[in-house]
Amino acid sequence: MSKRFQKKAPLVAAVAVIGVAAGSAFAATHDNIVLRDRNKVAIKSTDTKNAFSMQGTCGYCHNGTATNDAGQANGKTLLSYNEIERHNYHASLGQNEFRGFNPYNPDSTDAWRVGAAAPGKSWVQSPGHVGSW
Amino acid sequence: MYQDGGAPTYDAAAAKSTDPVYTSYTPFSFGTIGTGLAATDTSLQNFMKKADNSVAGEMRDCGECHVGGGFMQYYISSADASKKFQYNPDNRTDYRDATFTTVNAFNTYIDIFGLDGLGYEPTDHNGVARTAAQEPTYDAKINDFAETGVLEMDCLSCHLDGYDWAARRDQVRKGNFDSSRVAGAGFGTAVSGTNVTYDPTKVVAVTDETTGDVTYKLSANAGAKILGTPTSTNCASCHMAEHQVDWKKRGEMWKEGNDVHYGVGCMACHERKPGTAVGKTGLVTEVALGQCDPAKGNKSPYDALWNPLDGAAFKTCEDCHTPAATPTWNTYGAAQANQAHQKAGLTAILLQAAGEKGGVATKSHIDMIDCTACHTKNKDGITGGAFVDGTGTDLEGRVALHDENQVSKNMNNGLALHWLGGKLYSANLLTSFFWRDMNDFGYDANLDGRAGGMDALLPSHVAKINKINGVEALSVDGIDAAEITARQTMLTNGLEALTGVAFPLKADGVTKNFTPRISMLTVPFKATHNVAPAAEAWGKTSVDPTTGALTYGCNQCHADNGGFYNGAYPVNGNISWTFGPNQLATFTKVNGKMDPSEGHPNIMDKHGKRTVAFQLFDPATSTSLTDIDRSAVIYEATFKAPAAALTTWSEAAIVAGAVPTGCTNSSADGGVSTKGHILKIDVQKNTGTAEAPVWVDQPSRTWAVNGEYTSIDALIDGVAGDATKPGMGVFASNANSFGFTITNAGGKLSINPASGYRVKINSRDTDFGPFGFGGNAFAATKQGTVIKGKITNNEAAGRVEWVGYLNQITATDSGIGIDPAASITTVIADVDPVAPGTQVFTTDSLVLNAADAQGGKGFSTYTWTAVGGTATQDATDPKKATVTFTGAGSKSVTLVVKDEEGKSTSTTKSFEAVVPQPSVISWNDNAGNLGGTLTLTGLPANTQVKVMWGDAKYNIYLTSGATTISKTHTYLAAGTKLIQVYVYNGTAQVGYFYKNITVDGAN
Repeated sequence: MSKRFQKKAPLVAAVAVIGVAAGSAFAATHDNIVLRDRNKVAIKSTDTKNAFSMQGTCGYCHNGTATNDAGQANGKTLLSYNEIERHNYHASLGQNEFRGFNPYNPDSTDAWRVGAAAPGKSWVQSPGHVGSW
Repeated sequence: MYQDGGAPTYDAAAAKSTDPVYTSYTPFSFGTIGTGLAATDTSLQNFMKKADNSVAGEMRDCGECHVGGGFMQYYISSADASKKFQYNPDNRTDYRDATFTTVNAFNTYIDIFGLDGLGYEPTDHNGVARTAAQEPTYDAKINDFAETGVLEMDCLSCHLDGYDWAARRDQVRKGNFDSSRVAGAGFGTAVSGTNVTYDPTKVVAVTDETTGDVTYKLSANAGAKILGTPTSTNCASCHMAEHQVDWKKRGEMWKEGNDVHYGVGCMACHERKPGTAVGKTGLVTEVALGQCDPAKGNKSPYDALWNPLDGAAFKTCEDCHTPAATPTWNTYGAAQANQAHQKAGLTAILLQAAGEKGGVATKSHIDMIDCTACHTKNKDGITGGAFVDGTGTDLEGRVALHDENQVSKNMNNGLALHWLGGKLYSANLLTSFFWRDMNDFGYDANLDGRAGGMDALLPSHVAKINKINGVEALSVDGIDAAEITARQTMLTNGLEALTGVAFPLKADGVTKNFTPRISMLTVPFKATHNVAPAAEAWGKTSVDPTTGALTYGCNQCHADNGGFYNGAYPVNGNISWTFGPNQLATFTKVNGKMDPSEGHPNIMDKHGKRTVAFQLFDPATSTSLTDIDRSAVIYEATFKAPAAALTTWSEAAIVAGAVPTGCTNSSADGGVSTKGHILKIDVQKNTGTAEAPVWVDQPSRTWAVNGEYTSIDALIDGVAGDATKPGMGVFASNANSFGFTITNAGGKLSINPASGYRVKINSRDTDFGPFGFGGNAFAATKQGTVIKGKITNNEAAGRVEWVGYLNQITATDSGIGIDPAASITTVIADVDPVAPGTQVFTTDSLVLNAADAQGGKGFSTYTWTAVGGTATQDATDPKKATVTFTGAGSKSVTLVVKDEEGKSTSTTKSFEAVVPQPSVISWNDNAGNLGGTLTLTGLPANTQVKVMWGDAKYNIYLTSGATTISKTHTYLAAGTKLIQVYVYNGTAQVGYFYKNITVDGAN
């Protein structure tokens, strides 16, 4: 069996009790989600670019206010897509810590620039993922 | 990636480098966009020569797991000088809105997956054989975001129960970025990058009765699968499923039965503690978890991503298992560990703290060993990464092979230890190997702008050369010397065409000066999951079911080849290696470029002062890799410590112990470049007077060797003043008021503080070895033992000796299980045996000794106190104290003993302190016999004196009022005799006197 198909095989079911419990309450608010493009416009069957946008679909309610874009109550203030995306280490992967090419500087006050990651590795431009190899 | 923000600039006048800043965040241009065909477009050709895994490339490669957003959706398009790193998330541009006119890292990628994104898979998803035309071309290609869409942050990859990670990956590989979200969620199938066919069972078509428009919404069932808290399966699909990132790095698999926390799931620990602030600016200056940031574990020097958040709001092991106070967070019924640890002897004070080398124990195992070290264990059958093979692709097309069984190992015996901040942590030792050019002098093999430096070859170049030659990554079928030699030839024949730069020739004018070698880097990635229950942890106790006797688990670790801190570590994993000379090259030199090592420079010793260097092979003599002993990663072969040149300010010159060979031996034929070595001097200035100095820190001064030097004269003096090769001439005089000069002292560097200044060599940044300061920088230092008598002189000079000592330690030696006993052994003579209690004079100093509380085992403390006086513990022998009492009356001395386990007991001796009597009794001992003369002087007025001789005999003398009396007496035996004298005047007793006298008999 190729490695690819091994990966597609179902993972061992590991549904955490807490996940189910918390998720159930959460899911009740996701029972009528309209798929939207990045501009929050509902996707039509006639659209040729019809893959839904997380930014527009989720962002219709998750817009930084207590109401969705139609003015209906969210129940509580929901952070916007941008607020979540930009302050999220899984998403930013060091974009907000970008140092640039050949960053080593023994005189820097930046601990990363003087650290072991940088010397001689000019292609390592960030402590995060992007800009490193 | 960017045009600006490049390397620091060196200011010779200040002898310091300055961090660069971004002023525009203009993408680095490989040339203007031309034809878009790699074969004819010079910009794309330039990209193929220099670039490898660009941002656009990462979208298809690393994007398989990374959730999108960040650089996957936006590039930073302008700088904000007011923000740290000049980064402002508002100054980003969505790739869909970008208009690039240049070939750059954001819009161009190297085709490593082929047309259908399946790399070198033999068949497609339908089992149809793939053709060569579908395989990777390694051409540079422009990514048209209008066609591919972008990788927005895919919320559902975490929050949708049942999310199909692999389905998303398959689309990401092809550049179907917008569609990948639909595929991953299972809401439909991808048609192109932006076009999908929705699954009507998941997505419901809704017709607007007014306009007739048909739109889509999630079905109730699909919506119900959106969870606030991600399931462990979602996390594991990227992190801990077989062959995923933490499988590779940490050797961890999220598998039932292999972690006691499986039932509570990832988010039980990674949910943040209550009341934690939520960050939303995206600025690193706002140190707070974002709404969708799982709380991170604690810091590791091999993971630098947003380190200020490491450990923030995270529930540690201690937070649930040994909380200091009642937790306000959910502990999920966590077992309390303190008693078990104590019972196992693990809280006993037996260990030396970081920095302690004198054999003084102040810490326990629990203090010094992280929970993971003992509790992270793997079942048989759990596998993990042993190698990342950078010599070729994997089946999927990725340019390094790191997720297949041939580069893995059985993790049942796959963990080791490493020090972090003076504490031991569990780790998987992952070794990456890759091709590099050992021509350190004249060839920029990866075109990073730095000729030499033993460049790593671009993996895409290696992959392309492999494809041309029809070979795969070395590890695919075992590795032997002949195969490596053949690869070296392939690389030599193929690389020039890819870089577009001809190899220089050696002195013979014929031989190409290109030296491909394999190097290896080993990194200890923290193993923090796969937590075994207490019954399976290292050091577990056992109880005899019949007798109830407790057996300690010390010998599970403290034994030859115990497998915890010692024993052969399976570096080789599933790979078999043989190699020959000139095929492998040592990765680096650590400790100021002095000690060759395959280990990461951040693998520090216990004291945090030195990198622990270890080698997996000797490039000159080895023919296979060494399964190093685990202890080689935690203890240096020879214990060393920073010497005076690094620790003590000097007003005298610091002269190098050796010539700076590392800076002066450059040679075009395979020599070592002199470029890049750092010399940094710390300086203080006396702002007081010679008699009362006040030393004030001055700026440190730095010099990086930036030329190729062939002699110390050239290094120090020869090129002073040359802007491009300033040499060290900037230090020739104190013209810039650096506070010191550097001169040539007979071929060695001499750092000479100016009058009123003092210097030392900067310990963190200086490359001591190349400058000849190696001998000045570090000195051998021994490590004292806590338990004595196990090795010579109770001091270990290095790893082997120290491990031998550790291997001998037993519970009994350590006093574990031995209850302490308090006993004052000194017998104090009673100056008045007749009176009740032990009478002592108020003027006496009583020297009291105690017995060892555990019969010479373990480590007990002795605390002496006196009621009505003072007890002074001996400075060198804590079992000894000198006691004096204040005034007459009832007194006591108490000894409290406490052992290493914290068990305590005490004993008290009581005394009656009496004022010494006037000197009435004297004894003149006869020479040579047992007799002598008693003289009583200064008696009160009396009529009768009774003398008790202390040998059960007595005499009564009628005195007729005499105040001085002399009487002889002969004893039957020598020794100390208590003479007591009762004085009567008439019928009244008017005096009582006593004295211990010594009858020699042989004098």
